[in-house]
Amino acid sequence: MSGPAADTGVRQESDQRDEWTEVIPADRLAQVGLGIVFILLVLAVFGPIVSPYDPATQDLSSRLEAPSLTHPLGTDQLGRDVLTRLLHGARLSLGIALAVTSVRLVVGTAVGLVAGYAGGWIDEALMRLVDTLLAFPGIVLALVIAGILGPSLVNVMLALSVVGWASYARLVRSSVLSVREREFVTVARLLGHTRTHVTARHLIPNVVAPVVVLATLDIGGVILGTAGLSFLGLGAQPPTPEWGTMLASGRTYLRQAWWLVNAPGVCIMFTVFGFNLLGDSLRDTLSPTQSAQMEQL
Amino acid sequence: MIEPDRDAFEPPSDTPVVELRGVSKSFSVRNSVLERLSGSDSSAKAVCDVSLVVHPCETVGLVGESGCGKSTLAKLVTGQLTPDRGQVRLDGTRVGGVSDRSAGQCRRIGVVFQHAGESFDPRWPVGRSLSEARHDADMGSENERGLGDIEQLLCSVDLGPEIADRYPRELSGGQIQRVALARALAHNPDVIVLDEPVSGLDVATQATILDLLADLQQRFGIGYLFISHDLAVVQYLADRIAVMYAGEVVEVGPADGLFGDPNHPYTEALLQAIPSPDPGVAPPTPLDGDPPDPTDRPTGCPFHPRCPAATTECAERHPEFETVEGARVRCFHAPEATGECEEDRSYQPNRSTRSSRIHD
Repeated sequence: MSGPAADTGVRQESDQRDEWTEVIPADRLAQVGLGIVFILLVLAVFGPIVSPYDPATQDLSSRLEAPSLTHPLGTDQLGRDVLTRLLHGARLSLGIALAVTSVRLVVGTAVGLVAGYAGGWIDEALMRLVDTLLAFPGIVLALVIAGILGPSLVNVMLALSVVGWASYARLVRSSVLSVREREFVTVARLLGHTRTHVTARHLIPNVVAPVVVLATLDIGGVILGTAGLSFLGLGAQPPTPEWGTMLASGRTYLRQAWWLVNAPGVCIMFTVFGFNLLGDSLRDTLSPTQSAQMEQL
Repeated sequence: MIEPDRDAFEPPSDTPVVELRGVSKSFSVRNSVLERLSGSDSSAKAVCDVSLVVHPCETVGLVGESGCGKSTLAKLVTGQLTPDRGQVRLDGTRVGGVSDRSAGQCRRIGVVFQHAGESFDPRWPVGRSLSEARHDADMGSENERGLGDIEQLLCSVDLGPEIADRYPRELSGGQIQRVALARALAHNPDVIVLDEPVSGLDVATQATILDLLADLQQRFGIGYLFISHDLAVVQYLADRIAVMYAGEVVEVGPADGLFGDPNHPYTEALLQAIPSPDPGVAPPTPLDGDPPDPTDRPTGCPFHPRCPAATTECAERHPEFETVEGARVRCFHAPEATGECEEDRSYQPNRSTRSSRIHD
């Protein structure tokens, strides 16, 4: 019995590897996106360990130094190494982005599942709430929430989470509505399996692909949102090396030290760019027209 | 190939595995907000006062035009729908919809749909779908039919064990239909509801699937509720046939008698609509008119607007069932009910020709 089972496992594994190695490098832009995200992750994880400087230690004797060999991206107005701060900021930004996106994904998926599966007035009520949230410009609503809660990184995360789950809920609901009408869901119910079983084994796995795409595209937006709110002074407070905060404090020295604004700015741009490319290519790969691959995911 | 014992009309057991008692189901049709407000809520009667039994080891064919309520009736049996009136009984116990049924009650009924490919989760190899179906069956009772293993299951529908690793989209129409049948067998059901199980298949595959169905019924003593619009297919497999028109069963009786000597004008019209393979025979004359609008059913017998033998009585009163030569007919003009022979009996079925056609 173990023989065939092991064979099956190997076969599936190789199938999946084929899918991924076939799909992603086939698309140049996807390669670039994946490369950027990968490099960013490596830098965020290992950069701060390698860097000889501390992100918060001030060295007033070497303020606003231009990029050089000792400080590849120069120093800021308090003599701190900009590259080191960027690397620590990468950790922060990616961590926040992943956390906020996860909260959005989990909350949105749960609401969408309930709305799509329960139907009736529950669906109606939840979807009107979603409509309301979607009617507000996200960043403005987040600004209000963060403003009310007070400036701190945690509050920004909360605000961004509250604002963003609605689109997940809507997406999951519509997917559930189409999947639950398919015959294999009916059959699973007729076999006497519980709603929980059907939801966990059939509904969720079959709606997950578009949600993954949305989440990938969303990460860029969350990084931008966090940076934006921090730039406005609502998020991370100095001396936390957050990209948006660095951008805000560097703005004052734009004429003397161009690297202070450009370095975090370029970082934000490339990160968002990378995640968007990745999300786009995932969307193309997992689109319903290529259902074969979607089913494999 | 094992032929089902067609002549054994006597049911082998007293308790029917499925019994419908006076079941009705209507769907509300809401056209617009205005109509909803004005309260002119019309409802479409999909199934009206249907009583039907399926015994173990018996195939009941359910035939009729599209939209006559065949599939609704199937859904009432499986529990996808609950009847507005009447009862659905499984093995003598009254049951509700699928959410009210216990897992054990659900397992008494197997289902095979027309589009079997759609009825498997596209993300799973079919073997996993089979074990999903089998899982519950193993926990409760001992697997007396010896279908414990997925391999054995696949073997019983003439498929190799390697099929278990395939995804639904990798299988042909005939293969996936066999797997669907294997899944229906997996939980040892008393009855299998076959909703147009061979309609999407080519004739050669149809024949092998039908032979397989007959074979499995012999081996496991399962009752079939076989729904089809293809009379030749139903005739090949069914022991008894129920003819539906506009949500009502208009005639039910042993397959041989019903095909050889139809009592209801509608049954006769259905049989005449089968094209003959003989080039000398004139093409079938289609029945005039359309089936009635389910939201606006005719008074009296639902078939009277299209019936060649209709009288004023048909339009006024609703006929009750009468027993004619072992069949139950709902018509005022059934031969023995009126005492006169029907004149226009041009259709003479030739059983051997059609059966052999399916074998070919």
